[in-house]
Amino acid sequence: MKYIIAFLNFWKKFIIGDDLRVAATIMWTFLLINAMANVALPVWYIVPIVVIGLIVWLLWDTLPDRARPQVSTQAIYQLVIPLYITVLLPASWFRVVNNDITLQHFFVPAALQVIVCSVVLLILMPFFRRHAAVVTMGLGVVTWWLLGPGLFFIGDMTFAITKIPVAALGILMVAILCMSIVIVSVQYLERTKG
Amino acid sequence: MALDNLFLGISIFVAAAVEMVEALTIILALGVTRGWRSALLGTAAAFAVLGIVLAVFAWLNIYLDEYSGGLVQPMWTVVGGLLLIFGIQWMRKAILRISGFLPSRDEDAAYKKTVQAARKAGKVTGEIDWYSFTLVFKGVLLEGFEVVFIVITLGATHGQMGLGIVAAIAALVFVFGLGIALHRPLSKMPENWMKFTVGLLLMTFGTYFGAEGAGAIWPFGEWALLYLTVLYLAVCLATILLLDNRRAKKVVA
Repeated sequence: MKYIIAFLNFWKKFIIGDDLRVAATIMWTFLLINAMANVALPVWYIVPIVVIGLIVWLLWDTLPDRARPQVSTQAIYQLVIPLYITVLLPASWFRVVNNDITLQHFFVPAALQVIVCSVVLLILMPFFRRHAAVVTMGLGVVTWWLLGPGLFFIGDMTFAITKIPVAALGILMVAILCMSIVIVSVQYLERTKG
Repeated sequence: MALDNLFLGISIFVAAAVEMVEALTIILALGVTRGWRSALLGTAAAFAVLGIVLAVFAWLNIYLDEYSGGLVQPMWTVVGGLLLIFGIQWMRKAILRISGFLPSRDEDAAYKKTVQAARKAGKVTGEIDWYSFTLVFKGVLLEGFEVVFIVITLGATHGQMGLGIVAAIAALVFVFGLGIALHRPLSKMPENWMKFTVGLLLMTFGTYFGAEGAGAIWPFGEWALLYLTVLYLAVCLATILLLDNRRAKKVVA
C-alpha cells in the first residue's frame, strides 16, 4: 500500500506539479471552450488570456507583499503597448483579411475586443493605483472600440481594391492613434500624480 | 522545414539540454568522489528505462497513426493541457529567478553539495556502490522523464516522434560531450533563460494544440504558433522588466 501511494504521489507531483490551481484552471478552460465551440462561438482567444492571467496570478501570489508592484506608470509602457501590438493587431488583422464585415461578424469581435481589453487591464490593475486603473481601463475600452469600427470601415473600403498593403496601412494608422492616446494619457497621469 | 517542425526541434533540444545539465552534475559529483563504474551503471540503467518508455509510446503512436489517423482530437486537449501545466510552471520559476526573486540554480553549488554528501556516505564496499548507483539512477530518471514526456507529447501531436527523439539525443550528446570535455558541471550554461525558452515554447504548443483539440479554430492556421510565441514573449519579458525594476529600486532604497 505504501508503495502504491508513493507511486501515485509521484505521478500526481509529476503531472500536476507544485500548484493545483494551474491544472484546475486549464481543465476548466478547455471544458468551457469546448462547450462554447459546440455552439459555434469563436474561442481561440480564450486560452492565451487564461495563460497570461494565470502567470500573473501565480507571480502575484509568490511575491512577498513588499515586492509587489504598487504604482508604476512605466508599467503602462512596458505592458500595455506590447499587449496592444501582440494581441490586438493579429485579432484585427484576421477580421480584415477574412473580410468579416457582416453586422454579426463585426459586433462579435468588437465585443470580444472589449472583453479582452477589460480582462487584460484587470490583470494589470494591481500594478496601478486605483484611480489610474479606472482611467486606464476606460481608456482601453474606448481605444479598442475605436479600433473596431476603424478597421471595419477601412477593411470594407479597401478590401475590393487591394487586400493587404492598404489594410496594413489602416491597421498601422489606428494602432498609432491608440498608442498616442495611451502615451498622452500616461503623461497626463504622471503630471497629475506629481 | 515547416515552421512547427522547427519550433518542435528547438523546444525539445533546449528542454533536453536543461534537464541533462542537471543530470550531468549528479553523475559528475558521484563519479569523481565514489568512482565511475557505479555512476555510469546507474546512468545506463536510467537511460534503459527511459528508452523502454519512449519505445512503448513510439509504438503506440505508430499504432494510433495507422488505425485512427493519428491522435484523436480529445487526446490533443489532454496533451495540450499537460504541456501548458508544465510550461506555465517552468515559466513562473524562470521569471522569478531571472528577476531575482528566487535564487538561481547554481550547478557549482549543487555539485559541491552532492560531493559532500557522497563523502559522508561511507566507504564503497563491493563491486557496485549502491549509494552512487541509486542516486544517479534516480536523478537521471527524474530529469529524463520530463524530456521523454515532452518528446512524446510534442512529437506525437506533430506526427514527428523521430525528429523529437533526434533532437533529444542531440542535446544529450551536446551536454554530455561538453561535460566530458570540461570535466566539470556546466555552471556557465544560461539555465534560467533556457528554462524561460522552454516554458515559452511549451506554453505556445500547449495553447495551440489544447485549444484546437477543444474545438478552437486558429486564425492563420499554424502561424498561430508564431503570434502566440510573440504574445507570450512580450508579456513575460515585460513582467521580468517590471519585477527587475522593482527589485532594483528596493536595493537602491
